[in-house]
Amino acid sequence: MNIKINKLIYFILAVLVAIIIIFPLYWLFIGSIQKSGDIFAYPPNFIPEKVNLNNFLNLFERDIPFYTYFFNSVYTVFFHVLGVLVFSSMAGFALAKYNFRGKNLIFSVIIAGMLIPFQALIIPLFLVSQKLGIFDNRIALFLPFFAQPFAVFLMRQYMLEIPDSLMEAARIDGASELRIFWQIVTPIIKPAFAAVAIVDFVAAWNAFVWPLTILRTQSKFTLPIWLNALIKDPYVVDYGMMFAAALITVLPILIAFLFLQKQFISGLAAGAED
Amino acid sequence: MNKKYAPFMFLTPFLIFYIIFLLIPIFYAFFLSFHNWQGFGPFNFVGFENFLNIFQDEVALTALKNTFIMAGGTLALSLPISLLLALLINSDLLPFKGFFRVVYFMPRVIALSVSGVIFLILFHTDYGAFNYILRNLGLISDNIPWWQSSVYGKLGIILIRSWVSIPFMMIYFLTGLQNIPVELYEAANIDGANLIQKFTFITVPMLKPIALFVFITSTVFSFQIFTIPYMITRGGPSNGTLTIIQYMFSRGLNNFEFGMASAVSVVLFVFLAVLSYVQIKIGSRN
Repeated sequence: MNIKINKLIYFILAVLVAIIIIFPLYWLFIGSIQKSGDIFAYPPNFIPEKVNLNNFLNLFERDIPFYTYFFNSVYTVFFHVLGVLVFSSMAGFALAKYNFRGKNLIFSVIIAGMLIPFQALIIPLFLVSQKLGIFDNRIALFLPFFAQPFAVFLMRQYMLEIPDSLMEAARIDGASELRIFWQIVTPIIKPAFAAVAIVDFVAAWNAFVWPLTILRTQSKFTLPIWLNALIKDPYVVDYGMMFAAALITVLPILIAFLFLQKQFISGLAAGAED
Repeated sequence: MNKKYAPFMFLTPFLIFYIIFLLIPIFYAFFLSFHNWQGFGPFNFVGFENFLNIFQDEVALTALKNTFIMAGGTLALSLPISLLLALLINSDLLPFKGFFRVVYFMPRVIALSVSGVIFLILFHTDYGAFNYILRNLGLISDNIPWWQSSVYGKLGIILIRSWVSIPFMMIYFLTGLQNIPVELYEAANIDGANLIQKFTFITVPMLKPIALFVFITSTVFSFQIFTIPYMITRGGPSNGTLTIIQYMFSRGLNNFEFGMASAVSVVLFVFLAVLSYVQIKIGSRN
């Protein structure tokens, strides 16, 4: 009996906490499906009376419609993730499965990169990007992020587990090193690819400081800095539309999270945004 | 591809990007921090002048103070709460654990820019639902001017940052709790220890290393705070929520004082790198 009451207390407590945690997201959701002014109704409507999708329709009718930003985000994230996966898996492979001079030094230097907080790189990275002629260019949104020390670390860790005999057998069969990497190693380390891809996907999709630094032309903006531009725009007081835009920004990540809960939670515990 | 050259072939593409976009920039920041440079012309060597300027500039000191307050406040609020939530979720008495774990983790995947939009409106002085709820609970009698006051502005940002930070802290504490051997609690039960004794003499000491790790990781994370205050208050009112990153940002990218901005970067880098180094040391020990 006592245990049952305790269970109930724990459950109620957990539900209350869940409500507090979810409330801001719920507010975003109902704010975006109400008439624009209704978000400021007083007293607030905690349950919307009527569903209204005008906020979303308005996003299509802007000078630059929302799908431009959405496309920019998708384009950035695609190459961001692809680049990180390709370069970090190759580097991780070299460090895990070969012996060569300077290996430990190179590994230490790469790991030392994990000590650099990204914010400390903004100013010099901005100057380097200018020199390279990629300022205000969408390429700059992913190119500087191809080298991710944490990804190399993770890939190497996974590849250390691969038995050398597997590679030796392939070599005897005359397989080239590239082919060994491609046909034997990559299928085995799929979980590492998934982990790195998830962390990088979230980081790239949510990225704020760097796109803000490097982009000036609005048609090149990604979703997060478009939100920033909407807030800053003194002529936009349409909070319903702002909420709709924010919902669109967060929805892809939220859906992916709900499908891949375990992988998200284990992968994202480590990284953090600014 | 020959086996002898293979590792270099695999490493080179990564190293090229690593050198261009990580090593060169960080050395460049150190170099610039000792010079005055407006983005063109020659570099004027000024020694430690930029660093001294930071600590003599009223605005920089305000930004530093704000960052310490907001980072410290976030830690003070979210560390105990996340530990409590981890204990709650770890308890055998709680049904639907998996469900709650997912719900509690959710704020971690939300873009900070989105949180900025939500809380800008949720914490609106006159029409915000948060003030409405606080008033109806009888906690306040007048609406709080969240984003028009430097004190409440900081507090509001601390609340938002805690909402964002708690999920990942909680997951670490949860892992820590799950790694405590059950035998310890069983032995304590035999000795007739109560819940509080078990918590003080088993849970707390066993959690110490992970708590230190969480503390350092969150500190590194908290000192880089930028997006939320930038989006909501732009650092105002009267620099009340200005962060050290926004200060660096405006010095460098608005005023083109790249030497000064780099000096701020270097200070930040040294401070956070030392913390990260300690963190990695602790991490590898466990």
